[in-house]
Parts: sequence; C-alpha cells; structure tokens
Amino acid sequence: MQQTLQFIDPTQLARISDLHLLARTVVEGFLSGMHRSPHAGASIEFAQYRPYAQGDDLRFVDWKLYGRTDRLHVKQFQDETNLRCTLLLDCSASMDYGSGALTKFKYAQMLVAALAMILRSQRDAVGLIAYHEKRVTHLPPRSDELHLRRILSEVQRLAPERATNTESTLQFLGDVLKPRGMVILVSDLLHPADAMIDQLRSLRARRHDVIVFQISDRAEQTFPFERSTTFIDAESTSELFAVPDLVREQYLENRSKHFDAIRRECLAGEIDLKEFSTDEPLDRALTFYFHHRSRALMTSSAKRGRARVRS
Amino acid sequence: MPLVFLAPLFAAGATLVVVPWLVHQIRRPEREPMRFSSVMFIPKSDQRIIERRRLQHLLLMALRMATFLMLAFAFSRPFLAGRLASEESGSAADHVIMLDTSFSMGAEGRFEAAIERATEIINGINAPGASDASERVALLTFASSPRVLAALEAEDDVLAGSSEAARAALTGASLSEESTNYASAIARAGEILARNVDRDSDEAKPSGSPDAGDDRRRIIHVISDFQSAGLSAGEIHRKLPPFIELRPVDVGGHASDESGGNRSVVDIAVREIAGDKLRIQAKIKNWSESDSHDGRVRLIVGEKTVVENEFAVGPRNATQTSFEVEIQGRSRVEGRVEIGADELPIDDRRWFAWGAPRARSVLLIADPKPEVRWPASWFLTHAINPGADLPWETATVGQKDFAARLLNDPVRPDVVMACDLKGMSEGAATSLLDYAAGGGSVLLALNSSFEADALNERLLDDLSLRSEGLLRAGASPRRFSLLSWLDLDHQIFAPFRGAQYNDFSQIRFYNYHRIGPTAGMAEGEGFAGMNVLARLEGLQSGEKFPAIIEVAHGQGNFIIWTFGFELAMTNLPKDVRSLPIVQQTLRHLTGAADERLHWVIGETLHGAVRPSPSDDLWRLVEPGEASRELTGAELARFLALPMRRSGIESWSAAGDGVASSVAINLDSRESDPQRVAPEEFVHRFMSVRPDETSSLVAGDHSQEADAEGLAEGLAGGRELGRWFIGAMFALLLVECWYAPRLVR
Repeated sequence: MQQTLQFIDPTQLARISDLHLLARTVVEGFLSGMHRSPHAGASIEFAQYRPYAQGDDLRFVDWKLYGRTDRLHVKQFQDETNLRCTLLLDCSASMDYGSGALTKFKYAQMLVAALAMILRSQRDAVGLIAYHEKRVTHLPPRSDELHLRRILSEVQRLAPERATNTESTLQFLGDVLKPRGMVILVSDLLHPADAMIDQLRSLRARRHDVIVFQISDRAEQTFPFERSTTFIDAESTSELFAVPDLVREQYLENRSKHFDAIRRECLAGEIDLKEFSTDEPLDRALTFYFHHRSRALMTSSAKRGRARVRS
Repeated sequence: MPLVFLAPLFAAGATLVVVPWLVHQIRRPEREPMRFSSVMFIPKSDQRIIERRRLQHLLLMALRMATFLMLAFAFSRPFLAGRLASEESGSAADHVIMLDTSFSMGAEGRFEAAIERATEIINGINAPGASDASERVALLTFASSPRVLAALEAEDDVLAGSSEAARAALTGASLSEESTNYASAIARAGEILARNVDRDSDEAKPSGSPDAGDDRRRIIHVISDFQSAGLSAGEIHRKLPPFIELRPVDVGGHASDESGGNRSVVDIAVREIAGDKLRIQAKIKNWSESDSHDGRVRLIVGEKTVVENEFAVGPRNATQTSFEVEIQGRSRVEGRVEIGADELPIDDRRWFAWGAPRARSVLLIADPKPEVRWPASWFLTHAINPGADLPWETATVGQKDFAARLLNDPVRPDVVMACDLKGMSEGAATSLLDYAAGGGSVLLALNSSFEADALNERLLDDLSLRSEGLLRAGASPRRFSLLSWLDLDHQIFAPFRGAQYNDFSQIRFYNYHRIGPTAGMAEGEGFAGMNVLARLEGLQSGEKFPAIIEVAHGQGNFIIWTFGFELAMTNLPKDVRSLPIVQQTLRHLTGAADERLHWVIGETLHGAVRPSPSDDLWRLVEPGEASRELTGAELARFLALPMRRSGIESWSAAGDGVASSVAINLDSRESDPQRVAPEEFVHRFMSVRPDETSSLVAGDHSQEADAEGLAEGLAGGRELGRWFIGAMFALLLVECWYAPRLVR
C-alpha cells in the first residue's frame, strides 16, 4: 500500500495538463508496478500443459517436451476476450465540487483517461459517453489508437454543469450497446437512485459487466464545517442555511442511507460499486478495475462450466 | 457624582469597540454562502435555533465590545468625583483658601488671575467675623512651605475667620522664588480644619472625625497652576479625611496656550582649568513645544556682561553653552548666566560662585618618642605631606606647648591631631575640650601610654565615654583582632565602598583601648552624640569594642582611634589603605568635603560654614539686601534657616576678612510646565477608604475613626481604574467560557 501511495498522487497528476500524457503516466507507472497479468498479452497466450488424450489435435502437442520427458502433452491457450467497454462520465455541476486540491470532476477525468489508456493497451474497444441532464458526448467503443486520442481529447474538453439525469443515459446505452460488453460509470451518484438502479440492472440483464466508480469528496463524507453557513446546491442552486454542529449527524445518516441503498441494490444486481475519495491515489481505482476483470472472467468461466479454452 | 477621566486621551481607545463589531460583520455566516455539491442530505435547521444562535452571537459581540470598552476606560483612569453629605445640607462652612505663590505662578497673568479668583471666593463667603458666624475663612499661601496669612480663629482677634481679614491678608500675598510642595501645604490646611473639628466635637469622640451634630462644611480651595513637580516635591503621608472637601481652582491655563513658551537656565557648573581660567557651563532648557532660535545667553560677572553667546534649542529639549573667565589672581568669582526674558522671567538666570580652595591648617600634637623608630606622628605627617598637592598645612607642637599655641596663635587650626602622647595632661585635655567645644575638630589616636583612669577623668568623661583600659598588657604579633564592621556609608570609608576595595582582613590590631559609652548611656539610644565608625571583632566574652569613634562635643567633634596608629598596636600604618583613611578623616573633620558653593532655594546651608559662636562680628550680605552685621551665633542660626531668595549670599568675619559666598538658585523642576489634572490632584489628596484618612498632623486617629460614619455619604472621590480592569478580566473569563460553548 505504501508503494501504491508513492506511485501516484492525484494532486501532482492534476498539474499535467495534457490528459493523454497524464493517462500514459498513470498506466505505465501502474503496470510497471504489477506482476504479469494473464490478461495483458495480445492475441492467443499459453495457459497450461495437459496430458495428451485421444482425439486431441496433434498440432498442439509439444514435441520438445516429448523429447525431454518422453510423454505427450498438449498446450492449452486462453482465448482473447475482445472486450467492448463503455465509460460513462458524469458531467453534472455537482461533480464540480472539491474541498481539497482536486474537484471530483477533475479526479473523474483522470480516472476515465487512465481506464481508457489501460483498455486500449489491452487492445479492448473503449467508448465514452459524457452526460449531465443530457448526453454531451457519445463515442462508440473502438480499439484503435486514434479513437483513444479522440476520447482523451473529448474528456479534456468537458466541463461540469447542469443537473444529472443518469437513468436516461443508461437507457440510451442499453439501446445502443451490443450485449456482453462492459460499462463503467464514473459519477458521484448524488441524485435519486431508484431509476438509475433499474437501468443498471437492465444492463446486467443484457450480460454487460457493470462497474460503478462513486467519486466523493472528503468534505462530503465527513461534513467537517464549523461555522454556520448558507449552503447552495451546485445543481439546483437552491439555498439552505444550516448550523453544521447541529445537522452533521443527520447529514451523515442521510448520506449513509442513500448510498447504503444503492450499494445494496448493486450487490443484489451483481453490480460492482466502489467509492473513491478525491484524495486517494488513482491506482487504487485501477487495481479495483483489474480485480474486477479477473473475477468477472473467472465467474463467467465457472458459469459456462469450463474456460473458453481452445485446444 | 460625575464620572470624569483623568487621562481622557486614553478614552479615545473606546473606539476600539468597533473591532468586535467589524469582525462579527465580516464573519457573518449570511455573508458567505458556500457552494456545496448537494444539499439533499442536509436537514433544515430549526428557525428557533437559528434565532437563538443569532442572539448568542450578538451577546458574544456585546461581551467583546464591553471588554474593549473596559480596557479603554481603565487606561483613561476613570474617577468618580466625591460628594459630601454636607454639600447637600447647605449649612455653614469653614473655608481655607490656599494660594500658590511659587515662582511658576509668575508666568504672565497667572498670579493676578489667582488673586482674582481668591477675591471671588472670599466675596462669595458670608463671614462677618464673629466666632459663631455661619461661615469662616482662612488664607494660606504656599510654595515650598505653607504660611498662614489669615487664621480661621484667634483668641486675640475678633476679625479672625472673617472675609475682611482674609481680604486684607490677600493684599499682602506676594510671589516667592520657591518651588511648589503641595503635600505640606495641604497637610497644614487639613490641620487647620481638623483642629477646628476637634474643638467643635465632643471630647469623647475620636479626634479628626466630625461630631454627629456638627454639620459644618469644611472646604479647602487650592488656587494653583497644578504643576506635576509640586506633587513629587513632598511625600503624601496621609490623605485628607472625607469630611474635608478639596476644591481645585486652576489658573494655569494649558501648556499649549502659552504664547511665547518658557526657557530657563536649569543648571550651572564651574571648574578651574589651566591658565588661571574658569570654565562656566550652563544648561538651557526650552520647556515649550516650539523651537527657540537666535537666543542669546550672557555671562555677567560683577554686574558686567563679560561674554555673550547665541543658542538654539528645540522643543522640550536642552542645550549647553560654556564661557571662560580669567581669574586674574582673584580668590572669589561670582556672577550669573542669563538669557533673554520670556513669559516667566524669574528662571532666566542662574547664579554661580567660585572660591579658590583654601589650605586647611592641621596642628599635630606629638611628644617626642626617640625610642620608637616609627612613631604615629611619622606616619601621619607623611600621610598628609604638605609638599604634595594636598590642601593641608601642618604644624607640630608638643603636649606641653599645645595650650599656649592655641591661646596665642591668631589663626585657629582647622583640625588638631593628637598622637604619640605620653599620657594626657590635664591642661592638654582641657585645651582639647575647649577647642572642640568652640567648633574645632580633633583626631585623637590613643596609644598604649594612656592610663585608663587618667584618660577617663581628664577627657573621656566629658565626652560621655569610658575606657576600660587596654585589651592586654603586652602586645604580641601573634595575638590580634580584625575589623568586624565598617560604616561604609560614612565619608571616611567612602573610598572603600567597592567590594574589591574593602577587604581589611590583613589589617591586624594587636592591642587597643576598650572604650564604650559611660554607664547608663546605651550606645545608639540614649547617647546620640557617639557614632561608631568601625568595630573590632568580638572577644570571647562576646563584647565588640569600637576601633573608631566619632563623638560630638559642643560645636565641634572628636574622632578617636582606639588603636593608637602605632606599629606596636596595629599594622594599619604600614598598609596602603591607611593613606585614604587619614586623608578622608581630615577632610571630614575640616568640612572640606562639605564645601558646596551652589545651593537651591529651600535648602539650609548646613555644613557650608562653621562660624564660631563667639561674639565676633560677621558681615552678611543676602541676595538683594544691604549688608548687615551679626554675631557668630546669630549667623549660625541664620544660616540654619531655609534660603528664600536667589542670588549670591556672602559672609565674612569682620576680623580676618576671610569671606565665603554661595550661589542660591531656583529649583529648576518648578520651571517644568507639566501639569496635573485638577481631578487627579483631588484624588491624590482625598481619601477613598476610611483607613486612608487621618487627622493629618493632629495625630494618627484614623484607626479610631468611626469607619461607619465616614462611609455614610462622606466618601470623597475614588478612582475606578482597578474596578474597570477587574470588570474586563471578568468579561474575558465569561467570554472564554461562553465562546466555545456557543453553537457555531
């Protein structure tokens, strides 16, 4: 963990204005710190040896191994996944809040860029949808380098504004996406969640892997204010005068209720949800993504009864 | 009971109350709304809580403002002016009018205004002059000391206490050249009124407090310019009792109102320099708030301007100018340094006097002692070697010729040193006593030849001393005593005051005369004439005998060395420290150290001159007066009085023509225009608590005074600064407790 903390400091990363450079810095640094991944290879990769059985294709017999051991073994290879991932970036005004050096949106920008870079490095197709109350950007998944640059350029251009309407975007996504893709939602989830959860479940029903990165600010998590203040809602511009000492407990309880409900629904719908604070290193989020990928593969293999192994 | 501020400028600090107000305004939550990602989780605060919180903040702001206010008020010295119970009664009253006649009142129009105000006060008093009159008035002028011009009552004067008597006395009031001393004058006025209280009230009642039936008002009117220097001139031992009202009448105006400002010659120093010249340095101070350019300062000797210089001095600053004058063989030079007249002309000059140092004649009585290689006389004559640059003229005479020498010599010696005597003859002892009684000074070294009985009978009995003889019959270098105590404050031991100089552990006393006061005279108690200057370490019996004694006899005095100053009794003569001891002893005995030529008005010329109490005539010239002839006794009595006029005072013996003169100058502190607020003046002298009151000079009756009676509406003014400080700290404590608890 200590190594991870030394790896990427989001405050330092925020000083890199070029998002492409930023994403490459994150991804290369992140990958160099990891062990070799079974998913990192291109094309067909060797998985294991298996004793030859009658009917096995003789093309996959390892003759060199036969020369050394005098036994016949066949090589097994893991099939390429051909993942199509769509990144959903919440661009609503509530994302424009930050009590520290970074706003939630800036953090989300960096995260989306890093994910896109990783996906591209795995030769997966990656697409982008940015939205607030409307869709702002829609780039369908593709795996070429030019497309990645377009995504990064688009992410860099975005600015948070207006209210949020996640469910309509998810509904649109369900309509346009081919089944068995991956959807990664990056949002602060500060809106009524019922409709959104329904849409996420709908995506799951279409065999999409769904990951939700919930971005929070430390001040939202603890409500550390001391002085009485009039709070202005970032999206609705409605004002509320509050005495922090008096309302803190209730605030934390309300917030906890809201996110517990979302978490519960996500768990029930096999949707991975993870909360990240803007002062946390980005690689934690990336690690979470890889763990999810690994688990998702294992799970799908188990469900199919066997790995999609070509022998 | 009006509240006034003695330092009102500090009250301007009360404007600091805006600081908490500003801070609260700037930090008002309503003024700084905060954009937050979402208010969906924030519950609405209860409106009552918000209102309560606003009130709490207002209260906190008020607390902070009050704290600042208390601080500002405490520094501005709030003073609650007192009110007398008798003031309300409108009853009869005794008035004492105090008129300041110090020289600072000589500023333009100030004394005239004071006379006018005094006349107004007298005119407003209905005092027909009968002893049972409803109102009585006394007039008292004061400067360095008070002077009663019109008494409140007098047995042989039916007009005493009347307005007529006071008005008539007022015409005789004149300015003096003295400085102000409020304490002694207020004490005198309080004494007049307190004495009157004692007489009026019941015998059984404590003195100094009014009788329950006596509702006379007692008022002191102080007409003055209220200079600060006058408050520091005398110590205020006791404040006025509360039943006396103090009414200040300020005629000083304000320093800033002064038209031309005041400059004065505040100091003068004279010293002889090479080439038979005198250097006279004068310090000129500009007391005003404006520059003084193109000033001219003159040196006047013998009413003739010798030198004139220019000077310039900044506001509230001083400058120094110097002159050189040739002595031209004169033994005395007198004159003054003077600057151009300003609004207070009296302090524009300062007098100086210089006299050529006079050689002091020392008569040494010594019997020849051929058997002693180094007798005491040898050491003493070498210690005051006349060949050196020392002011001593020595002559030696034997014991048997001493009386004749004293009788026949026209010039009396300044000091007689007796040593190496082979006992004390009756004639010599009588001559010594007569010489000292007539104002002479004697240094007597008691060697081992003296027999105790003869010494007591012929000499010491007359000095109220008694010798118990020598410590031991035969001296031995192996048995000795050390000095255990020295009076380092005495002039003789002045050179040894530094810690590095007063190690006398190597000075040994092998033998000495055990001398003490005669029986029945406890040392230092009943016999004030004896002064032990050095004491030897104690014997086994616990007794500590003196080594050096000073004892007065008639007009003169003796210094007795019990150790004889010979090598058989002490090793002191061989020690280098013996030289300053001998020199300082002679300087002390001849009064050379007391020769001071510059004096300040109000001082007495003690020590400056020792005229013989004989009937020889002396000629005295006072400043501004013609010369007059006095006997020695009359002159001595006159010189013991405080001096009242500035100038040159000189006197000379009619016979030998030797003259002395001193310069008498004003107290320069009186020129300082710094003034005290009349309210503070009242506060300084009026009592606040009953335990501060007293009948002043009528004895300390404060302890007996009826505190309850004094407290009943008779309290004078009180300064509330400490209460405000206390209130401020209390507010701070409340704030420290309240602020953290306040819902933010």
